[in-house]
Amino acid sequence: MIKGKTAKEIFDIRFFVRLGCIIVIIALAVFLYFFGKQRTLYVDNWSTEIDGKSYKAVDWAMVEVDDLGDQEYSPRQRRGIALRGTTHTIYITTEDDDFNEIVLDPVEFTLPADQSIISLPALVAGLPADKAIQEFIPEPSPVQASDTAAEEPAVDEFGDMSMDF
Amino acid sequence: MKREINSKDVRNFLSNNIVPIIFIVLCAACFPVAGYSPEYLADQIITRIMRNSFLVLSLLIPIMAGMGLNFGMTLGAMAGQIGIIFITAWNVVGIPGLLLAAIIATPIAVLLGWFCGKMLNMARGREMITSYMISFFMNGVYQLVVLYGMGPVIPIHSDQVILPRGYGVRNTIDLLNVRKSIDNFWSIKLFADENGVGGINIPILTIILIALLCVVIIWFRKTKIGQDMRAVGQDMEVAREAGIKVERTRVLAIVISTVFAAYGMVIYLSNMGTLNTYNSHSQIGMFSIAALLVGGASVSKASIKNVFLGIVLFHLMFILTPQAGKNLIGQAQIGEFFRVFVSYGVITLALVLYEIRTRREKAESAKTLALSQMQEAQA
Repeated sequence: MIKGKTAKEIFDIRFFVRLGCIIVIIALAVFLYFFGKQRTLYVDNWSTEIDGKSYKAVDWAMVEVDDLGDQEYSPRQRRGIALRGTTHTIYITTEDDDFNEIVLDPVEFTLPADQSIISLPALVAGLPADKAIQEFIPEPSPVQASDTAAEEPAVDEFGDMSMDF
Repeated sequence: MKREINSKDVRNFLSNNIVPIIFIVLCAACFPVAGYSPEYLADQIITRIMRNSFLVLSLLIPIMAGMGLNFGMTLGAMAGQIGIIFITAWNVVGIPGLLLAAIIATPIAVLLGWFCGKMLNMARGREMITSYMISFFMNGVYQLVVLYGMGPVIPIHSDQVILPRGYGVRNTIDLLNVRKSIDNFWSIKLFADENGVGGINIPILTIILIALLCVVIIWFRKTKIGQDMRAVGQDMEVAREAGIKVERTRVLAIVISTVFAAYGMVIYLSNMGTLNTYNSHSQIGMFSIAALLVGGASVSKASIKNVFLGIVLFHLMFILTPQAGKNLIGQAQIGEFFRVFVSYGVITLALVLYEIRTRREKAESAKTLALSQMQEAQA
């Protein structure tokens, strides 16, 4: 045993209290990670094809995700929404051919990736959320001016004194 | 009975408070030249008190344990920065993000603090220069980890954090997702106009956090371990004779200071909104120590009062001198040079004054001892 201590002396009440504290802190860290993680959801109102079936863009829709405010969508519109947490709800209001307003049932979903895209036409057509949502992979763009600009040395409140050292 | 103030008292007061007095005079001279409104200055000073207090407060415990100014607080700042890098890469935002950064930083800060404490125990009597060198040495390790380890070894793949080449962290990381999360969580605005423009912003939650740390430090001084630290700070050999584990106590002082510095850095960065990956930590150690000394602290004695007075005076000078330089000579750069000169100058002055005072005290006690021995011999 460590420095001549017996197992009973090592695994005393203090050891278990400390172990408990460490476990609580790790659990808190895991909770904070999932609770505080921000992901982006793109609500997309473009005509699309899922599992071989075509869905035409909705003429008009009012969409709200997690009480973050209504947003109006016309065909060929896509907007990004920053979301926190694990489970989200989307509320959709649209209209039929006679311009009668239809309020769809709220749809619960989880985001499959840090950037996901959800198809509004597919949801309006009644497709389940897990089919209508997929990971959003943006097209790779060449190195932009902003990338190099980010490498300029930053000056904080004390000015640039890095050369003093 | 009323005690008369004699010239010796005045001289003692001046010699004990020479640094704050110099700064008060400097600020008073620069204030009319700079031309800033009192409202603007008050807002700036409050922002900077909120930003820096935690960091400067972290220096108090090693001073209490007789280890001088902990230049090794840079290690804690590095730990805080690593926490911030991780939460930015994972995109954990707001207060949960900052809490997570603090949790990530804690074990790193404990480990670094323990290492620094062990080293300082080996270099007893030369703690300040040793901790200064350790901070340079660990800065190299930090740069190696951040520049080459992050990406291939430590899996971080966020474009926001990692350089376009695929490894290494960017020079500058935008902390937009956590910027002013603590300050804006609960704040009030004083003296703003009817449109809410201008005025002085008072971040209540940050004030509560800082006040909490002050209370913890005051409480800590009264605990068994706090008393042990004071005993070790006064005389290590006497403390050892009294049964205090001197080495352990000293390591603990550095570990606590490093952990507080890590939390302070998280608060500082969240307030700034930008992480200067390769420079922030090395600058922050120097300026926190300078601020504490400006407040009238010395290598062996510092209090919470010194922390706040120091931050106010030091940052007041930082705000005023560039503008004063610009208005006087037409070049803000003069003010920049001035404040660089003053920052290092004040640390040098404080160290020299401390040495002079220590020697004077030793000479006086030797004189008293010799006198009493002579009187004993005559009797």
